[in-house]
Amino acid sequence: MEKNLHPTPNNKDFIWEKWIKLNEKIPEKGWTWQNVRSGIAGNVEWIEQQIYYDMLYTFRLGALSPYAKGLLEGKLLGTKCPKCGDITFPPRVNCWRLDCNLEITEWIEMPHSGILHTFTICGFAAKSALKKLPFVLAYVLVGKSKTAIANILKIAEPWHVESDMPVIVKFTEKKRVGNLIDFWFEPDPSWHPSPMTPEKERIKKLCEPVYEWIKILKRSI
Amino acid sequence: MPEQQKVFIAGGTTTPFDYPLNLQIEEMVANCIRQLYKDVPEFHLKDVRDNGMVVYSHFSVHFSHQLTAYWILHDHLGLVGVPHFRIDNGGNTGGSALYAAYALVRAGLADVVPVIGYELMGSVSQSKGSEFIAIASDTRYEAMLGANYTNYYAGLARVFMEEYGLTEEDFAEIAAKNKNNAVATGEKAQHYRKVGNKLTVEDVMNSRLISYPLKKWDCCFMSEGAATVLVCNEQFAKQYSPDYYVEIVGAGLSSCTIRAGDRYAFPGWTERYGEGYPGLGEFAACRHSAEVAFKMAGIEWKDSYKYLDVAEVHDAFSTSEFQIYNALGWCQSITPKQFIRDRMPMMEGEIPTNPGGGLIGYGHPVGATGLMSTVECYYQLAGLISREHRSTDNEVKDAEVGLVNSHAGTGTSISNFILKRV
Repeated sequence: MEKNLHPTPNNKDFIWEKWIKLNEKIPEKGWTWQNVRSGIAGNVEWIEQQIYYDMLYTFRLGALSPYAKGLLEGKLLGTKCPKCGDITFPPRVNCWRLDCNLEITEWIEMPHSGILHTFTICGFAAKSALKKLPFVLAYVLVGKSKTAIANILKIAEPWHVESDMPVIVKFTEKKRVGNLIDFWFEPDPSWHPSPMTPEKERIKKLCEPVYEWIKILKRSI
Repeated sequence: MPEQQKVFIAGGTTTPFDYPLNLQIEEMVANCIRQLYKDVPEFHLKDVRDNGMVVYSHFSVHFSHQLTAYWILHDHLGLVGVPHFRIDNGGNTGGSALYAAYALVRAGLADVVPVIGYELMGSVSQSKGSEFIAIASDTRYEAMLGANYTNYYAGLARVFMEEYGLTEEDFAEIAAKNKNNAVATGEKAQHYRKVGNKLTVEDVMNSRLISYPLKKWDCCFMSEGAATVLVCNEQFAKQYSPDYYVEIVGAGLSSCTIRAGDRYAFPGWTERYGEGYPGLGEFAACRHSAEVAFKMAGIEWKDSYKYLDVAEVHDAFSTSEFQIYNALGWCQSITPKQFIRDRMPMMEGEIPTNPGGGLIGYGHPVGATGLMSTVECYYQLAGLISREHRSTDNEVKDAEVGLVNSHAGTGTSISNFILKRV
């Protein structure tokens, strides 16, 4: 194996039977007919057919596996280029500098703290996150990373969030999956919100209907 | 060997943009071409068969429930045997397809290249649609958070706001401008079809929170539709539209990181533009591609609006339109705050931006969007607004030089074009 290449695992040790069994637990049905609907709009006839189509994705982490394994163990693993010393989190398994010729980076453990660079207070999001609304999406520079990572910042009163505030990392105690959803950010305990400002009042007011809407949403599910 | 040639636009059409449009892709595109036959009677697809090829502009096969959907279109148009390929470059799909057509004609590999863009988005629920778009962000990271592009853009806007001391109202001005311009555009523009009336800055401020600082009216609609731009060499341009052709005098395309967080200190940009640039608040790919296009056209990046009469830019969000002004070098001699408070991008301002309505007013069926912007800019430069729009309220009189901007990801791929009336 060439030292400057990522290793390619040999599949002779891969247990296909086990993998197939696991997949069978989540059956894929392919094209499944659901509905036919028709109508007239103005003087134009229309017809539409609804078809359910599902798929089970397998995300293979490959060279990123140590990062995912780290998350399972409650660790944040970033990368460091042995040539230029750049640290990045999220990790990059080859250095991003053209001068480093795609040097394979080294895994390093990141501290569970960082500085919030920017954020937004979400009043709407994808389906999987609706019940969490309104939540804060934050871009955080963890440790000495030269890149910011996006994740949720948990805070009771989101209008108090501010740029450059110190944050800490919290891992879920529930079953971890090896994805960044295993952790989130919280304000560093040493940080205290500054007094209310007109902008904070404005954000608070914008959040009010979101809280109401989520109450209704939670009741209906 | 084929010889380099100048590149022109001799026509352009769009379907109405709406959601859902209740059309299949082949009829959307057939409508565009039949309209082109009407607008440009000298043009025929046979010229494409004999002297050209087709570039298709289509973002997502998830939406089209069909891989290589353009194979259906090409066949439907009767163009079997003619070379074709499809460009997908996120939100910059339209701009990138135009870039490909430009490159083909410029290189002399083809003389007539219709760029045909389309997007179905109503094939899934709106929330699923947002999720489909969000999987253009890194699915191992950002997409898993349940955030979508509006949320990412809001985070970027936040940095921009703080850096330049901008307020929500400054962005709301842009949102209201584009919605209201679309009212003059009329039946084809989604805001006119769906809402119909003009909005005030207060309406924007009072609309529901989507992701601070973005409210509902700061964002573009989810849309379906198609658009076509007829790209050709000088000989065909003169033959097709002797009174209505424009030259593409500059074209630039550039790229940035897929994850916005990774451009905090990206080596390639810091080498080019210095430490701290672009950070999360600036669109480096927009600046870079604009610099390339401006250089070709003999325009300086700094205060480039002085050389331009009109611009159609990619305003997926009111905030990103503002960030684009900055990346185009418009806020160099005056601050961004002053730029908006002097009403520079308004119809009555120095550089009317998105007179057609932009994405916020006209709509955003991804594969067709950049082409819609091109078509609107073409109409302005060719003097076709009175023919194409419901009213001339959004006409830029005697416009000679225009800019078209197309934009993807969180600024991940961006193209800029300079069009000039001939």
